[in-house]
Amino acid sequence: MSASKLRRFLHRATRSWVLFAVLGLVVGLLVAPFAFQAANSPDGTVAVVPIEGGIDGANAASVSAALQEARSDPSIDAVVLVSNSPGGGASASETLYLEVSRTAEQMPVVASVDAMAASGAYYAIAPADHVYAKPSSLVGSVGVFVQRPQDPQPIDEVVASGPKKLSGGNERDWSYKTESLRRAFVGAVFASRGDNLTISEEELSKAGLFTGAQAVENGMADEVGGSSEAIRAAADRAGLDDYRVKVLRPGGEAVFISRANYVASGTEDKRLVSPNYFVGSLTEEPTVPNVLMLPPSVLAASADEASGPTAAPNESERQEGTP
Amino acid sequence: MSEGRTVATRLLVTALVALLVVGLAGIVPLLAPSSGIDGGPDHPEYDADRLAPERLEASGNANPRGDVGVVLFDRSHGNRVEGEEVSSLVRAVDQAGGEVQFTGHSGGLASGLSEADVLVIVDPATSYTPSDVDAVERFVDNGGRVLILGEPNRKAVESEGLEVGLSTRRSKVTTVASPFGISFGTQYLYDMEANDGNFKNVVTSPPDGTNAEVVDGIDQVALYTAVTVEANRGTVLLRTARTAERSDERTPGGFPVAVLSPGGNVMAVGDKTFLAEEYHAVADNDVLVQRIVEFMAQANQEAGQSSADTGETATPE
Repeated sequence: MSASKLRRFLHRATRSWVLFAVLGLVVGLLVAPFAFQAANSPDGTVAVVPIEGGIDGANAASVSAALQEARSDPSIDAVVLVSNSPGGGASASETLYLEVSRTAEQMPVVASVDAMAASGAYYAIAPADHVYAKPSSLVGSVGVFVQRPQDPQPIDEVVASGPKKLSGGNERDWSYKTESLRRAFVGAVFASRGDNLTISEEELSKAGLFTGAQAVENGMADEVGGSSEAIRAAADRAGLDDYRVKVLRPGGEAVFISRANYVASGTEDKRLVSPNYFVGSLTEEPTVPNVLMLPPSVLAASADEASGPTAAPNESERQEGTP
Repeated sequence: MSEGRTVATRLLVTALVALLVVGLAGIVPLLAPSSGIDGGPDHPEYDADRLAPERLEASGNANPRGDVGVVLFDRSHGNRVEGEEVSSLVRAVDQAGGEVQFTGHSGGLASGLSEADVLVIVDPATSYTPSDVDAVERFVDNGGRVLILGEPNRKAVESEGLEVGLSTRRSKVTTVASPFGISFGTQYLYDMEANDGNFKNVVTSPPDGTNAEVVDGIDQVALYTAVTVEANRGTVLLRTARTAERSDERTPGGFPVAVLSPGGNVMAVGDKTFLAEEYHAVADNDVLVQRIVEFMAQANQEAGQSSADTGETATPE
């Protein structure tokens, strides 16, 4: 075809209504699926972040990463925390408190207590806007205990630069340090839930453990309900009529020190270990201070464990089945 | 305008638009709210001033005086008393010119009492038999003075060989204290407000209006995992604050923790730890140690006045 013929063809084509109609149809058909999908897509996403097992550094890092993902993902509009944990290390629990606080500044956060949100786990969920608990859930144990190193001074084998270098302080010093930790924990709970709490600061400091119904009564939880109610409430707070649910399950293995939490857990990758994992052997003096946010029963369990064969973490029971 | 120039102009527009898009892609994230890596909420709940508890003052400058004779510490009833646990009392007795003796672990109470002026009974693990009690009563009838230091029931981790477990320790003071109208509780006291750094370290004070010599000059005494002590028709020397509670969830109140028997010859305190080196200087604990030594020095003197100092019955408020 010569150039002149091509120009004539293009000239006629640009004046043809049929051709443009066909082009419009083709373009429309290409775009239509996207439009259909957009019309039927949810308004947003509610992320579910489980807090499972004893809270150690690895656990805290995994949950923190999931929360960070929720904050940085523009498609996520709200977060639901599902707690099935007796707490754990103080530092790791405080990390979660700070991460949940940060998340709650950015989007609605609703917590659902599954089997347990005790001690450090309750610390973690305290900043949530709303807390659901089931009647059989266990909530509370707001407090810390400290395993302090004994003072071996004077000792000839080690030369320390100061009198408190090996112990960190005497028994009385550690009492005041523990009191300071209590104030931080209780203060954080009151800062987060002060308006909802009917329990006094003094009573909360006694570190009692409450059932879900009791927790609703004293304001440590807001409503009786499970994770479904928590998801709906989170979506509602985010203004979502239609939403998708995305589980941001923290990576890594969940380590459980209580069978109740272990059995209740829905995660596939879980392991039941001795309470000694956190507490150590009660017959051995800690070499460094160990600050824990765990229910008191852990100590008794650790003593029981010490009287029998000690289950090392790698020898413990492992879940092989599906959730 | 030539066709080539037109095409070049349009290509230039295309390039500018592309640059604008790329530029926006680079700038918009900088303007968007933080994704959470930096910044975050403030935490006034972690204000350092609020978190640091105010410590009870500890000076320990008391100067025990008196003329104390022989002070016999009983060890024949499994008494959980080591030298360092009562070091401040031993030192105070020594400073007051007294002599400290210990009975043997398996006996020697009666023979020891024959030469003693004061008997100290600390946290016994086994009960005093009727013959032991008779000996102590005769000792008191003859003007001897007795100091009984009790402790609450408590769990202890104990190991024997490969066996490790929790056991309950009890202060078995009932048989030796009750003949003097004194009874000890078994549950520990705690105070979430008036304490020395921990809820179990209760701060106590002499009751208002008391003029008992043995608490003269005392404002506050810190006791460590204390137990209630009551004395029928005796004198309350120290009470907890009204915010104190007992571990068996009893109603809060001012619990008596140190008493004098009706005859004034037997003093009982629901704690031994306040005598330890680490605690005897806290608050007025050292003054209490001084007054205890003065109480001991009155052995063999005419007894009986101190019990009528206030007339207050030594029971919980």
